[in-house]
Amino acid sequence: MKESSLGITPALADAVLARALRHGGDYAEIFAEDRSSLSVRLDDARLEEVSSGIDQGASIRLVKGPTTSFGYVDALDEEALLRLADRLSASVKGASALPASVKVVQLRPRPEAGVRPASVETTTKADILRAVDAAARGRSAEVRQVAAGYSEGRQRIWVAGSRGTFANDDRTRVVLSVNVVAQRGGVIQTGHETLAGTLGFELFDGGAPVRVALEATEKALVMLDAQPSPSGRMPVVLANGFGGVLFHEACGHGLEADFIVKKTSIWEGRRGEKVAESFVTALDDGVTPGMWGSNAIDDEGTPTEATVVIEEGVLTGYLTDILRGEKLGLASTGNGRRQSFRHLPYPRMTNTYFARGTIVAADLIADTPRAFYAKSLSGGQVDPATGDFVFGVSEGYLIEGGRIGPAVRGATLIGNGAEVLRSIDVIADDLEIKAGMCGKEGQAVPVGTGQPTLRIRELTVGGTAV
Amino acid sequence: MGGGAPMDLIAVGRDVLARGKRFPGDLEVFVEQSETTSIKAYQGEVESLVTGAPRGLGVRYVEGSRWGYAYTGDFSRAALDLVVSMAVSNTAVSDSDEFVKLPEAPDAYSEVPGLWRSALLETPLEKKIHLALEAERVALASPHIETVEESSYVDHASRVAILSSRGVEVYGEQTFCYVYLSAHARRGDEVQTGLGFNTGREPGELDASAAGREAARKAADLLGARPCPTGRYTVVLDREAAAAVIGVAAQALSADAVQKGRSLFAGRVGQRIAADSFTLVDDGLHLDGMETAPFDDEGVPRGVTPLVEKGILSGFLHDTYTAAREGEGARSTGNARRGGYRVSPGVLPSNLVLTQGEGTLDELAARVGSGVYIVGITGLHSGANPVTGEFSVGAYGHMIEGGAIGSPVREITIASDLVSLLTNVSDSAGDARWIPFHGSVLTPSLAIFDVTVAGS
Repeated sequence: MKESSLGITPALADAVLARALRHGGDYAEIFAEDRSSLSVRLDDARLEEVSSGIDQGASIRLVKGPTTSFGYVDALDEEALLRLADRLSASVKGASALPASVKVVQLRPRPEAGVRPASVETTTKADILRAVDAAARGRSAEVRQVAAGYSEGRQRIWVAGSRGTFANDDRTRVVLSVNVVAQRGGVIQTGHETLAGTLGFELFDGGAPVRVALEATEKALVMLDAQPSPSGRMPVVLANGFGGVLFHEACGHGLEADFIVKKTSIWEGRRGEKVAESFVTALDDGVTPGMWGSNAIDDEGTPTEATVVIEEGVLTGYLTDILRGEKLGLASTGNGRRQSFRHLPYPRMTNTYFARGTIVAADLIADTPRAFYAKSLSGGQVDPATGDFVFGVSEGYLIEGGRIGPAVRGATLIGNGAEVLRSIDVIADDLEIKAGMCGKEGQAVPVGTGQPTLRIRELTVGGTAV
Repeated sequence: MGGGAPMDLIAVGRDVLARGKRFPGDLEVFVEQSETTSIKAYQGEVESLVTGAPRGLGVRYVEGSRWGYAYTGDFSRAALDLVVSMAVSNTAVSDSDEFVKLPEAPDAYSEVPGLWRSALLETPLEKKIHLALEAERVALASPHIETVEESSYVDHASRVAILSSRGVEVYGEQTFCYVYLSAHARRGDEVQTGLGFNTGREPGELDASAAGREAARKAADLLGARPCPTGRYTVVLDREAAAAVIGVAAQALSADAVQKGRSLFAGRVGQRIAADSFTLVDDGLHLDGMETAPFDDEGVPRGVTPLVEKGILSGFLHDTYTAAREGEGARSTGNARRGGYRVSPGVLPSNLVLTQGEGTLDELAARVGSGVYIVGITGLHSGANPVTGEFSVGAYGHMIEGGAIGSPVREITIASDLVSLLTNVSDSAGDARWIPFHGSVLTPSLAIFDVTVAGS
């Protein structure tokens, strides 16, 4: 495909925005997208399938008063966009609102993309998966099944808004995921690990895929020895990395400005309040290159940033997009995100994490007489209105007398965001951020979740043992 | 089937097949296009109105017992050539597998009347907007309800064509719509959330007021909820919670999971895996089901497949690949499904139908005597593992005391394992309802004894 046929130009944006606003409106925006992807799947010791594809399209959003009208076309052609602008403008009755002429947003320089995944032979990608399979099976005869997936995507976007912005972004993401099934007698366990980033094929340099395979394998093997998890209220130590699901579920969703605007978040009206101990600081960082939830601009064309949402225990900020920010009298924090051109943008997290503390994680554990230790989490869910959250533990242990003791299986942690934030009593210095997918409004977007190892005074652990 | 297709999907499919003729292997094309409207109401106004006609096609190519897959949302000639050549070149890297093949054209498909209602597309936008506004209005007029975070009306008119060089050529269309809302009840500082929904094939079948009342009642009923003491209880799963459990169990009833060592039910056909009262069928032709269609996503006729009969495991769900791999008289049960044109099909349930018991929910509670009535489950995705059978999820609901549903409970977990959950089903009500959240499940409220509840 010729580069020149891609995207939209500022001149076309001016024409389409003028048409969209010809019967009035407060804001109009075009979002155009060109996406290509490739995925390779290995399962049951066979390279099962290679799949690739392309999608292209554009949407227009027209905002007037309380109402947003939105439509999209599965093509990037001028005629189709103008027709769509006409159709949306027909729903509005009034005098033409003149859009500002768009100007290209100058972004701070970004590091050059590394090795373009599309430039690497598919056989190399298949070989990585075969190496993952061999490493997992070679680790133990108890490994009964391995599924490994590689996928790459390149998404180019162009966003033009009637207040005069025109921005574009070129995003490359790669992911490797490994699922291992281990069995001993009648006991089956699974282990899952992912390596993902907003960067090129260099992510897989230096034996990284085999390390990921062995991590997933260890999880499954360790859990073969696990006892049923206890249940009831007890202290909980959450390990670094995926423990960050805690902030994401317990706090992050409730800071998304759509919930704040509708007053359906427990954090509404609480900026400036002390919500945690003074050693707790938390960020949403969409700007650091390479991280899974990072982009140069968000999906409304706003440059991304690192937003401090809790500073030394005080709630300092919300995560906003253009519309909700405006309703709150705040600028967009660059958190307007969408799954594709077929979706409306919403305020979404990028990469969220608690900032590092000062003590060493091993000392934190040694200082803990008895606790549930959640080494790895499998995801979670929250009701932002009540703050009630839940997350599943995929690798858990008991801490007894300052030592990590037996593995326990089948536990879910449940609590309330506001309460759990107040009951964090230590944060270690081993910050790590993991990749995941976040679902909201039926849209999935890549997010990073992270934290250093931390301890919560008390939380409800839901296992089968009473 | 009725309805004038705005785009001739069969013609697009034939075009793709023609472009594949110069390659030696077999080719299948899945083409879909839908028209969709989504309306959100907020505080008596339309908050957003989304309309679109998404489309796309996926190509599966088989040569030398190897798969290749490619898709495109672009239907230009250049893109159709590209998608065929991508699918062909994608076979080069995969390993050969003797069971890889496309299905042959079937003799006939069942007639499934009533899936397409032209009324859905003919209904004026104002009426659809009214449904979203009405659900919100009714909820807001109910006791304790402070806000309705979102009240939605959504519809889809979907068209699919599947064609292959093995002679499959089939076209289907259907309409579907729903209203859905989430209401918040407040008393002092406490807030509780309730969901309401209503589904149909055309807007005239939707009862927006009933959805509004349901959301309001569920939210208000939870006011004052607290954790209950940790212990082992008999739990009564409301239909939404029961559907969640059945949806997880069904993942282990796919032949793909069994063949690849990811099912705790492997090798157990003919054995007891559930209580006597538990009979589960996958019914792809049920006239009221949301996943009903004459054919599955590789063009194989849908059917009715018994999975568990009176507690005894009777079989697994198959697509063309898993049936070939099974050998010995195994046939596809018509359970190939895909999450849209971008992905190749895999084995998934169609409509899961659980046989119901007797009486109302209150009568079931009276029979149970004491326990916990579970209205909602949270964290299902992270807390239920269909491979290991582990099951530990967040929950909320009400205590059952003296045979009656009483005070509300929240911030509890329920934990067990899948086999115990199924074998400990002791009773069910006669209140079966279609639940659209974990696939498409028709289930009554279920009583299950000896479940660990963690709370205070």
